[in-house]
Amino acid sequence: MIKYIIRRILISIPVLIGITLITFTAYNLAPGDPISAMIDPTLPLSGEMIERLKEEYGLNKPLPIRYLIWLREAAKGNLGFSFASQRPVSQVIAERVPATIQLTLASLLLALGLGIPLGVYSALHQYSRLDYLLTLFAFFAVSVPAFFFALGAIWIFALRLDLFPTHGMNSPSAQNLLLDRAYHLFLPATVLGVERIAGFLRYTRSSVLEVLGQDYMTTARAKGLPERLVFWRHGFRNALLTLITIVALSLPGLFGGAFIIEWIFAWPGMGQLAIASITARDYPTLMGTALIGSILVLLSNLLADILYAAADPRIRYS
Amino acid sequence: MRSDVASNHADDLIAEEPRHKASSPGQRFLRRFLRHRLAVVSAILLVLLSITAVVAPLLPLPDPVKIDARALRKPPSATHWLGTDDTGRDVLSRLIWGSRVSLSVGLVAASISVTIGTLIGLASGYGGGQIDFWLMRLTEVVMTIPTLIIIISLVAVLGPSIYNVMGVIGLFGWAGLARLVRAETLSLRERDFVMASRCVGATGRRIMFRHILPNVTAPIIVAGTFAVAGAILSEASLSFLGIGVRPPTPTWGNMLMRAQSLTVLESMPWLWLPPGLLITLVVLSINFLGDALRDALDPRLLNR
Repeated sequence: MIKYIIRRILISIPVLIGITLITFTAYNLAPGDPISAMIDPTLPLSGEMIERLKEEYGLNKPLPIRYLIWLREAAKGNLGFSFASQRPVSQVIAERVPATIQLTLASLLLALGLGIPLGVYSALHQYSRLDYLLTLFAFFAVSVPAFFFALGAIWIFALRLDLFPTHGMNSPSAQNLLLDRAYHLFLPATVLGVERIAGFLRYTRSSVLEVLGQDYMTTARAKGLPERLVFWRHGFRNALLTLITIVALSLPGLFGGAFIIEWIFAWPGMGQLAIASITARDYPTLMGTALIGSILVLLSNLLADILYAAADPRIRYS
Repeated sequence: MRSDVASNHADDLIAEEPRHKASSPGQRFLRRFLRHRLAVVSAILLVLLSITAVVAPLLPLPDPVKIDARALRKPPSATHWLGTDDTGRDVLSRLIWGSRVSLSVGLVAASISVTIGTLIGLASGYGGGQIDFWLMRLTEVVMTIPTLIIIISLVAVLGPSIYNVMGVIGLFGWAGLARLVRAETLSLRERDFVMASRCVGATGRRIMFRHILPNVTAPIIVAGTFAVAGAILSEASLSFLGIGVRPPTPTWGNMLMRAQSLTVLESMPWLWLPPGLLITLVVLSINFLGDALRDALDPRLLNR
């Protein structure tokens, strides 16, 4: 197992390098340059001193060297200084990470909690009326633009029916903080979750259908197990295994979607920060969120792979 | 063929097919495709929309970018079927002119993705070894990064032009297709006909493009269809955020921009509901179409 984890971590290193390369390239296309952004703007420096600092940081070096310098600084946690707030980008982003994780985690749990049971139902009652309806729902869910769905949800549930707040993550006068957070979380998490519900539903359905046809199911039935045990002990558990991979594959989309949903619902996470930095032309912050967002996804993928290996011994030994 | 056995699994979305012997691949494709009623309706709708988009300059529509101070924020009426926006521009006209931009961004971006994905998949699957290893790591990078975030950052720094939007969306949408083509290529290159052409001295490039590529067109067409849907959604998201195609050029996405204000959202639904519903309808149609194409083109996937 340890060996597997180490191998898996080693494989993600090229991916990590790729991510940093893409971010650095994007950064270099932006006006200004990544290296000047690493100098603390609050320090009282003369123009000459800034020039000398830039030279020390390697601004005049060729591009590959500058990439390495930027990488070294990023590894130390120096993502530059935000133009907009005059503070270190890493600090600005760190404040935003918890809100994004809350939102994505809530919508992931919602999607799993609804998608898996509905998928199991669909598979066990294949071609039933509800199965047919769920198929249609899945098609709709992947076709509605998330932002349009968000606007519709705000229009109906927040403005017309006045059931939920239109934006933000807490009310100033809230008594029960947890309840208040859930109240604010409901609309954005649902909107963000719908596409994932559809995905998990379809994958659970097809993976349960596949498992139902396996020989070990017949074996379990042949040894006289009651049908319920055959399904839940032998079928369901195997069907769920492949779902771990699907969850991992859905994470980039989840994070990307969160950026737009946060913007619409004024949810103070990394996404809202990123979109706000576009209008402010705050490129260090924008690139920082892209980098940290990608790394978060990479880490969650790693975690999913390890979970998968823990759940399915076949992976570890192949 | 296995397909005849598999087609017994016709489900509710599909009308029962009369069982008769398949005559030609073309007829078989047409028969399987026509069983998907929703997909047929979708195809007709998409053709009509595309024709409207192409002939938009010939239609008797008000100028989509001309400001009319006498008709600001008018709800739908006989003169303006879908109302006017806050500078007096006709919403229906903008919707139709916008379809030219949105549909072409979708098609061009998807073509870029399909070209890159096909080339990388073929090279990776046929080349094997080191080529395969590095190309697959590259594919993993694209699959792992939240592409929407990278697309947003890149378009934000490159500047919001229609070509940047097309290019950047296309550049990050090929990973799934590359894996698919690679997997198909891996199994095809072990087949006898590849061995045969190698024996008569065909070059690697000739084998890839003349012998393997024609055998992977079916999954490429299906994935390409879904790629168009994805690209239309990405363009809409970018334009909605104000970093895609810039106004006054209308696109479905930037028509929804104004709905970021709660007043517009609440009191002027004619401004944002039509473009949103149209995007949904188009993407839904493309997805139905892709699903039917998958069934009709690939016999192995019929009994999903």
